[in-house]
Amino acid sequence: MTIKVALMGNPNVGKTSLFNALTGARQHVANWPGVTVEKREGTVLHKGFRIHVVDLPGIYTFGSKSIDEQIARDYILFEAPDVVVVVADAVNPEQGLYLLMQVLELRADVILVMNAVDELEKSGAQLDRYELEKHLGVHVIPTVATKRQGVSELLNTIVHVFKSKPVHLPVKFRYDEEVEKRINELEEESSSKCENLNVPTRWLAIRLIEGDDVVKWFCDIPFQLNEEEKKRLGLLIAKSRYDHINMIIREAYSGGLSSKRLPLDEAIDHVLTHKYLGIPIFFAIMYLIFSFTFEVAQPLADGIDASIAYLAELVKASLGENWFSSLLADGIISGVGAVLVFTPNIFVMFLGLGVLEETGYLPRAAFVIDRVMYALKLSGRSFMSLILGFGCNVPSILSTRAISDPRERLVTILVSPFVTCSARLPVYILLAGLFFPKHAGSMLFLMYSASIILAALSSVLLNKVLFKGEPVPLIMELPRYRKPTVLGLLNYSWSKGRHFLQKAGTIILAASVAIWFLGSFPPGDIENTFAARLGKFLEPIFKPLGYDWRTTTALIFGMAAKEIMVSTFSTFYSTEGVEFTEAMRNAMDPATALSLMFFVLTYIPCFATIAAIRSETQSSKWTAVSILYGLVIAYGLAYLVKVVIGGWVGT
Amino acid sequence: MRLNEVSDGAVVQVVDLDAPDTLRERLLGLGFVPGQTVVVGETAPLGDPRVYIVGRKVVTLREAEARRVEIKPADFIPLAMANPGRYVVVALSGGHRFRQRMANLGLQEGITIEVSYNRGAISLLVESGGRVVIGRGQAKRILVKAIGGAPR
Ligand SMILES: Nc1nc2c(ncn2[C@@H]2O[C@H](COP(=O)(O)OP(=O)(O)OP(=O)(O)O)[C@@H](O)[C@H]2O)c(=O)[nH]1
Ligand SMILES: [Mg+2]
Repeated sequence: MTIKVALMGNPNVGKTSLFNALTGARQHVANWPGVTVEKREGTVLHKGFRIHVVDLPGIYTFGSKSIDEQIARDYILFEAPDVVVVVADAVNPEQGLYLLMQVLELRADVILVMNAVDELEKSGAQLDRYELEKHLGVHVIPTVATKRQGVSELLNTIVHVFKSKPVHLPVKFRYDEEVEKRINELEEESSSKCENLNVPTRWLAIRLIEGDDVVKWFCDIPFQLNEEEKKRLGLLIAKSRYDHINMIIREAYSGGLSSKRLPLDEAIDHVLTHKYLGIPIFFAIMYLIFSFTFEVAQPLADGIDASIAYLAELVKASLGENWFSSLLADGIISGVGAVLVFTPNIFVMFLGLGVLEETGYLPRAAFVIDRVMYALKLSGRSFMSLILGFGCNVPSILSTRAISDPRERLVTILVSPFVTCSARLPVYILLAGLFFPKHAGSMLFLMYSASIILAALSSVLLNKVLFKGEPVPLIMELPRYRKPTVLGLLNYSWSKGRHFLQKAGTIILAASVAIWFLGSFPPGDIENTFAARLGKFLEPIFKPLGYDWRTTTALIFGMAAKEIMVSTFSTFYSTEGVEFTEAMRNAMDPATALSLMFFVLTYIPCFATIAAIRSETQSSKWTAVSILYGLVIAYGLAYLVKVVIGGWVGT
Repeated sequence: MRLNEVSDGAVVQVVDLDAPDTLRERLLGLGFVPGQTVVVGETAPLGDPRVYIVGRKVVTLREAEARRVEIKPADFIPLAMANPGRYVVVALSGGHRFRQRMANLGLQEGITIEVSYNRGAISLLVESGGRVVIGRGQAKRILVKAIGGAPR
C-alpha cells in the first residue's frame, strides 16, 4: 500500500535534508532559501507500506507568487497527498508555526517536524514537544535531518497518521469576533460555488479575506470585500495567529530561547556586509576561488595530462599503427583525455562554490551587491542565480523559478548564458596557458569579470529595449551561518562535478569519435578530410576574425558542449605528429587566441542550456533571441578584441 | 513613521502594513505583524537594502518595501541608542560571563540608571552611585526602558 507524503515548510528549514534522510536520495541541499525549485519524489519502504515522499520548494504562506512557490502550493491543494509533513526550524519556530496554522485550516492529517534541534540545544534552549502537541493537536517530531535523527520515528508516525485517518481538525482556532462573523458569511456564500476545489469552506473564506486570487479562479464567488476591509481583517488574522504562536512558544520552550540572534553571526555579518569592506571582500572571495581553481588544481591536472599522453603512446605501441589504434589513441583517449585533464580544476571550483552555498555567504553577497542589481532593474535574488552559473548554466536557469517577477526572471534567464560556466574553463585554461603563460591566472579573472560585465550590460539593454522594466522587491531571509562539513563539501562537489565526468563519458566521447572520423577520412592529406571541408566551407565567415578551419570546426562542435572544443583541437593538431599544444601555438597568435576566448565566452553556451532556456521560458522566440543575441555579441566582441589587441601587439 | 525612516540600530514596533495583497501576505509570513518588535540592522554598502531582525530571523528589505511598514519607536531600546536621561535596565542579552561582568559594574535587570552622555561610549550613573563608562558593543546588548525625570 502506498502513502503519499508531502514535505512542506518555510525555505531553508531542512526539507530536502529530511527528504534525503528519509529516502536515501542525494538532492541538492544548501544554506540559502530557495534551493529546491521543483518537486522531487522518492520512495521508502516501511512496515509494509510504500511511503512515497515528495519534497517541495519552501513557502511562507499560501499566497504564492513565484513559480517554485506555486508548485508547492498547487501540490498541497490539488494533488491530494495522504499525509502532510510541515517542517519547521526549531531555532526560529514562529514563521514555521504560522504556516502550520494555515495548513491546519486545510486538513487534519498533518505532522509537525521541528528540525535542527541540535542547533537549538547548542543555543542552550530546550523544546517540550508534548507541550506543542497539546496546543497544536498534531504529532510533533524533533529531528536533526543532517544526522538522520528522528527519521524512523517520523516514518512510524506517518504510518500511524495514515492508518488513523484523522479528518476532524484537531483544534479549531478562533479569530476575533469580527473576523469570525465575516468568515461565516463568506462560508455560506462560497459553500455551493466552489465544488471543483476540494477544500474546507472555512479555509476558503480565510483565504478570500487574505486576498488570494487563486481561490477566485476556482470559485465563482461574487466578491464583496473591499480593499480596506481585506487589509484590516487580514492583519487581525495574522496578529491572532502570531499571538497564539508566541503563547505556545512561551509554554513549550525553556532555557531562554533568546530574543536575539547569535552574537557570532552578528559579528561575522558586521564584517562580511560592512559598509566599506563588504564589496572588496566579495571580490576577494571570488578571486580566491578562481585562482584556487587554476593554481591548486594545476599540478594534478598536469599529472593527468602526462598519464593520458602515456596511455595513448602505450596503445599505439602495443597495437601498432592502424586505423583502430588511431581511433583509440588519437580519437578517444586524446579527445576525451584532453577534457578529463581539467577534472581537478572543475572539482576545485565546485569546492569553492560549495563553501559559498553551504556557509550561508551566498545570500550575503546578494545583499551586498543588491543596489547594483537594482540599477539594472534586477535584484540580489537574480544575482544569486547568476553566481550559480559559474558552476553550470542549467541549474542557474532553473533556480530563477524562485524569482517572483516574471520580467526579472526572463531577463535573468536571457543573460545567464553569459555567466561563464565550468565547461568553458577548459578552453580558457588551454588558451591562456598556451598564449599567456605568465598571466594565465589574470586572464582567467579577466574572462570572469568580462562575463559579469556582459551579463550586466545585457540586462540593461534588455530592460531598456524589450521591456519597460520596473524595480522589483527584494525580500530575502539571511540564514544562520553554518560550518560546512568536509563530507558535505566533498558530496557537493562530487554531485556537481560528476556531471562533468558523465559528459566526458557520453557526449564528449561520441563527439571525439565523430571528430576523429571527420578528421581521418578520406585518408591522406588532413586538408582534404571531411572536417577540413566542413571547416573550410564555413571559414569565410570567420575570416575577419582570423580563425582557420580547425578553429571553425571546433566552434561548431563546441555548440554541443564547450569542452568538445578542446578535444577537437587535440585531435586536429596532434595528427600532424607534433604535440598538439605546440602545433596550436604555431598556428595562432595571442590576439587571435584572446579573441577566441571571448567568442567562446559569449556564443551558444551548449545544447543543455538552450534546452533549459526553451523549457523555462516556454518560448521558442526567446530561445531564438538568446541564441542570436549571443552570436552577434560573440562576433562583434571577438572582432573588437582581435583588432584592438592585434593592433596594439603589432605596434 | 515608516521603517525606512529610522536609522541603523533603532528598535521599533510594527504598527501597520500599507502594501498590496501579495506583498502584505509575504511580510506577514516573515513576521512583520502589528505589535512585533523589529531591530533595525545594518545597511548594505551601497545604501540599500537593509537588514531587519524580526525575532531571531534576519530579513533584508529594500527601502521601497521598508516604506510599506508603519512603525513606532519600541518601548525598549538598546542602551547604545539611549539619549541622556533616566532608564530601567530591562534585559542583558549575553552569556553568563557578560552578565557577570555587568553585575560587577552594578548593572543588573531592574536597576535604574542615568545616562549622562552618549558619544559612542556611554557614561552613566548606576543606582549605587558609581559612574560607569561602557563601550558601544556592550551597550548594544543591554536593553533599557526610558522612565521620566531629567538627569541630575
Ligand atoms: N545543524 C543542522 N543543519 C541542518 C539540519 N537540517 C538541515 N540543515 C542545514 O540547513 C540548510 C538548509 O537545508 P535544506 O535541506 O537545503 O533546506 P530546504 O528546506 O530544502 O531549503 P529550500 O529548498 O531552499 O526551501 C543546509 O545547510 C543544511 O545542511 C539539521 O537538522 N541540523
Ligand atoms: Mg530544498
